[in-house]
Order: sequence, then structure tokens, then C-alpha cells
Amino acid sequence: MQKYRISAGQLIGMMFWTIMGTAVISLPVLIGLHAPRDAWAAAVLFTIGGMVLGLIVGVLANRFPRKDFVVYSQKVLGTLMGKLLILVFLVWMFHTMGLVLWQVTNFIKISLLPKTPIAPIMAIALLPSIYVVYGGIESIARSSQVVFLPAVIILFFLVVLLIPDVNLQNLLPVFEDGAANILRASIAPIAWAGEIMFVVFLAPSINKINKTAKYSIITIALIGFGGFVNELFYTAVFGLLRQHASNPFYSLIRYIKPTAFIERYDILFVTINLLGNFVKLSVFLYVFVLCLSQWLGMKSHRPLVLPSSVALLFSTQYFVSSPNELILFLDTVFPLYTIPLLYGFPALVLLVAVIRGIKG
Amino acid sequence: MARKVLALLAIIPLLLLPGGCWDRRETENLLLVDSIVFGKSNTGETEQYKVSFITARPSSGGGGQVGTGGEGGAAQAATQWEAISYGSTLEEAIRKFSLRSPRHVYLAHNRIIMFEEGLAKEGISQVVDFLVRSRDIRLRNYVLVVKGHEPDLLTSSPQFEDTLAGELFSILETSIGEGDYYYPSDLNILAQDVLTNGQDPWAPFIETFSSAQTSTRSTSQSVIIKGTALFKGGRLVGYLDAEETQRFLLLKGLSNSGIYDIESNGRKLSYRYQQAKVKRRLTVEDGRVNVYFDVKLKGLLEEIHFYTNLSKTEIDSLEKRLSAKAEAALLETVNRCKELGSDALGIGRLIHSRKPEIWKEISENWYSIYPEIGIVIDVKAQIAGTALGSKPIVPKTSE
Repeated sequence: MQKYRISAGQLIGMMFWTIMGTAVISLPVLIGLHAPRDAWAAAVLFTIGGMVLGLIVGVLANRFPRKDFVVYSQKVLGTLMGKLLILVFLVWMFHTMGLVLWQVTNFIKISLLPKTPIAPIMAIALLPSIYVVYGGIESIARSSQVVFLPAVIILFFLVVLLIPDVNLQNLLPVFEDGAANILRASIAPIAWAGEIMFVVFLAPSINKINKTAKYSIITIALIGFGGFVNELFYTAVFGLLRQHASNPFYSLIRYIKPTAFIERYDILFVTINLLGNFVKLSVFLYVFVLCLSQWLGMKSHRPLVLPSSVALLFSTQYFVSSPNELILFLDTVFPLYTIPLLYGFPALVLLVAVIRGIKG
Repeated sequence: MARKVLALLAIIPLLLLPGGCWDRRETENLLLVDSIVFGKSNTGETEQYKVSFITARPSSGGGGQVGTGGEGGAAQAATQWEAISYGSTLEEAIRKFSLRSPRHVYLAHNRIIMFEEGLAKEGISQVVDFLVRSRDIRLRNYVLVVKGHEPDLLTSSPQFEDTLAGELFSILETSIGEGDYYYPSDLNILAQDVLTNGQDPWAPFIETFSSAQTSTRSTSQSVIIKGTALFKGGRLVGYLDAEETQRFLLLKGLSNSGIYDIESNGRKLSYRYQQAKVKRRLTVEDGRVNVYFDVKLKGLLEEIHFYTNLSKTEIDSLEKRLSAKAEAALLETVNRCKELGSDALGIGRLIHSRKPEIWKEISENWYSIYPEIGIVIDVKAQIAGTALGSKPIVPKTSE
């Protein structure tokens, strides 16, 4: 059905921004709530969690090569159970997609368009994603490939410019926040890392399917390293003040010392964040409509793209009412159901498949 | 064909987007604030915040005094415009500018934040919190304390730049490294110090001389950075002068250059260090914490008005005397900080970062323990040579 095969670079580009897109906006705030000085340690636990899941995903992809997860999970768990779990996953997808869209648009609202109502920003932010998702996996993969490298290079360049303001004393004493707080701070990042699970839906399109685990682990390692550096910089530059910034990374970029060459760097970050979140929204929307179409037994995902997007636009207005409420929700409630679903679902399918000896 | 038409129809709505949006802000409609001064006023029945903006007048013109009053403004230079607003909250005071400003107040280009002495003595925490949360204000804004009363500041005029803020900004940006008599602290550093236990805030302070005063005084500067203002918690407790500031910054590891003079055979020599390394360490003896500052200075004898080839023994002796003099001066600065009760040197934070278990015990009573902390300063001043390229002019002996 899907003839286009995505390469390693394309998959990494897609998944990197799928996780990093909102992680860069929200995670520093969530981590800072519990372990401001040892925030970097949360990135280490994120990497471990993500790599374990990447491995599970890779083993599943190897066991059921070129098979759709929606189809073989029903085969493994039984039709009823399989359908039910996919339905739960679809509900999670739709709600989380709304949260993502809200975070992205709220960031645009704060940074660029404070007086514009959120609904039109949402519609405009979603429009390019609708277009590429309609085009299918090839469009998403190719646009991710285009976005990935320049965005990462600019991000790296921005971080380098902050080196003169780094005060390593701010990181001391190491592990003062305590193991319990570091673990607590890692819960939200681990939930974010769970999104690497989307690779099971993309796996049938990967050109070297036996390397799925490797690609997933590379993606997580890259994000983990990026997160580690970012968290280190937040604390080293802002110290405990990081707990009081609503957009730490944006504040960090605004803090870069103006030079005669470039005075304001904000726009670079806003641009790459928009591009990254375009990839994130596209992958979310694609996985959602693909999953839904397969769940409904449809031949193509295309007829579902527009209705799903319209439904998303309308319902997102009711998902979140204020940034503080969202932060509280992401800190306390979101990981409670996200971690069991994103880690547990593929692990359960793999476990039952091994026990029952089912192979694709 | 039908698909192409559909695609074209889809593109047309996008063309509407570049036309404008809710947030359209034309540059000519913005009041680009250069600097904000925060103060408190007791003029009314209740105490109010007083917020003053110094901005650059976008178009030339102006001149004489323009409407001064309660919520008034005055223009005395062609390009500078100042206005004061009052409010029971900071937000109210800032919003009240809309009553008299024909333009949108735009703070994203603000460069300097100043705290009037009266407000600083009462506490800056609330203002800092407000500024950190403000959407437009950047953490890179320089912070200053204005000694004396703020109206002096608004009536003094810039000497070289278009606005007072521009002048202060230039002083802060360009004079660094010329003896390190101040350090341009910013909102980020100040806010961190307000938040962090064991580290009190500090900021450079300025004194102003109004135009009327400058004509009668020998100084021609309207604004002078005089040293460093020290806080305890969030409250201003005192000042360090320029020389004390130099030593204070040296101990904080923020200074790389400074001058000490010393006498040799009854004649003055000037030693300027251009490299400074400060190592801070802690020891705990019988439950008493001692803080050691190991300071290494390296520099040249810059000013010698007599001709001599300094021998190794002479240089050694000079180095020893310089070290002793620097030690005494640095200790004096530490004692001054202790006397004021301000831990702007971050002794508490040093204990916290190196010996967290001890900090846990003493953090609650830190301000009573701080004056008792033993501080040992060890200076090793090294004279690398003289900065003289040729023989100095030695006066003829008249008799």
C-alpha cells in the first residue's frame, strides 16, 4: 500500500522534532519544578527510558516486518482487546495532539502575536501539517529531512553563543536536589520519550526495517544529548531563576549578548521552533489518521485528514484554559496515563507475541 | 485541471495573511523606552510606586519645558523625553502612561533598569519579580541603583549621547577593563542573587549631578558610576566606593585589572595587575568554617618617575609589600561587607556549593553566623617588569 520507503536520516529527522518540538518549550519548566540544579540528570533518565522503548519497538518491527501495528496487535491480543487498546491510543493521540497544538500556538502568541486570538494561530499552524499529511509519508519524511539539519545547526549555534554567560557554580552542589526529586523531575521527560513508540506505525515504511531499533536509539541519544546540554545551560546561565521563567529556552535565547553583527536572536529560535513543531504536528496527525483509517479498515488515510483536523481545531479550544493549568496537568496527570500506554502497549504486544509464538 | 484550480483557491486565503494581523505595530507608533527608573513616592495619602521612563524622542524638535505635573513629562534635550507615572501597583503605574503617551509603550528595547535609593532600601524583590515576568523586558538589561533622589536623575542631561540611558549604557559597555571600578550587572544576575540563599544582590550605583549643579562643580559629568550598592536580602544596606568595588570584584573573580600604589625610597610607584586568579576554598576546624581566598596577581609597574634598574631583591621586596598591602585592602573590603551585613561576596553560597551538609545546619541563622566566619586572604602579587619602554623623564636636580 505504501510504496515510499523512508531512510534513516528521514526517520531520525521526523522523530527528533516529534519529541523535541514541545520538549524544548515545556520540559525545562516541568523539570525545574522539582530539580532545578540537577535538571541535567533528568535528561539521562529520559535517554534510558527512551532507549528501552526504542529497543522494544525495534524488536516488534523485526518480528512483524512490513506489517501494520494496528493489524498485528489485534492478531496478537485478539480482535476485541486489540481494537480496544488502539481506541484508547487514538483517544490519547487526539487529546495529546490538542495539547501539542495548544503549546505551539501559545508559544507563538507569547513570543510574536500577543493580541491575536489563539484560534486563527492554531488554524494557520496546522495548515501546512494538513497539507503534508494529505501528501502521505513521503511528504512528511522529505520535509523533516529539510528541516532537521538547519534547525539543529542553528540551535547549536545559539547554544554556543551562550558560553560566555555560563556559570558552572550554579550547578553546585551536584545531586543536592536528592534522588527522589530527580526521579520525580524525570517522570515528564520519560513520558515525552514514550513518543518514540510512534516508530511502530512508521516501521513498515522504513527502508532497512531490521535497523529500526538502531535508528530509534540514535534518535533518543541525540535528543537526550540535546536535552542534557540545554538543561545544563538553563541552570548554568539562570541558576534558580530558571524556575521563574515561563519559557526558559526563549528567555535563554533572548539573553544572548547582542553583537554588532546580530542584535536579536529570538527570531531564529521562534523560526526553528515553528519548523520543528510543524514536523511534530505532521507526524502526530499522520500517525493519528493512519491508525484511525486502519482501525476502521479503510484503504487510505486521506479522507480522514481534513475532518480530523477540523475536529482537532474545535476541541483544542476546550482542552486547556491557561498555561499554568497546562503545566500542572503535564506535571501531575499526563505522565500517569501516558507512560503506561506508550511503554506498556508495545511491550504487551511483544510479550504476548513471544508467549504465543506469533510472528509476522 | 480541477485540482490545479482547487490548489489555487487554497493559496488565495494565504495571501490575506501578509496584509496585516491583530498584532500589527508600526514603528512610528511605538514609544521605544530606553530606560526605566523605579522608585516610591510618599506624596499622596498612601505610598505609591513611581515609575519613570526615559525615551528617545523619535523626531527632532522640542526644546523648552513641556507640561510638567503629576503624570507629567519634561523635555529638556532635543531628543530625550522623560515621564513619570504613579500607581499603587507597578502594573498600574506603567499602564497609566497610556493616559499621556501618544504611542504604545514598548519595553523590548529597554537597556537599563534603575532603582531609586528609597525603593532599594525598602526592598527590590517585588520589582525584580515583576520585571522577570514582564513579557518584553530582557534579562540582559543592565541594573543600577540611583543614590540620592530620582528627580535629580531626570533633570540631569547627557553629555555625549542622545539620552541619559544611552550615555549610561555606553559607560557600562565601554569602560570595562579600565581598572574594573564597577561591573555591569544585569537583571539576570540581580534576580538570581535575590533568589539564592547565601548570596546577596549587588549592583553598580550612580550619582547624578543636575545641569544646575554641574556648572558650579568641577566635574563635567552628569552621571557618574561611583561604586557598588550592597543589599541584604532584597534591601539596600550600603555602598562600596570605587576602590572598594575594585577589590570586591577581585574577590568575586570578576576583575582582571586594578591598581595599587606603593612607595619605594620615598617615591611613589604604581602597580597595575592585568591578570588575577582567585581560588576560594573552605576549611572546617572544630565546627568553625574558614574561607580562604588565594589571590594571584600578575602585572607591571606602570608609573615610575625615577630611573632605576630594579634589582631582583628590590622586586622581591616590592612584591612582598604589594602583597601585604593588597591583603590588607581586600580584608578591609570583606570587613566592610560584613559590617553592612551583606553577603554580596557569596560566602554562604560558597559554603552551600562546597559543603552542603554544613550549609544545611547554618543556613537558617546565616545572617547571625556570617559576621563570625573566618576569612583569610593570601595574596601573591607578581611584578612581571616595568611598563616603561624608555627612560622616564627625571627632573633635573636644582641644587
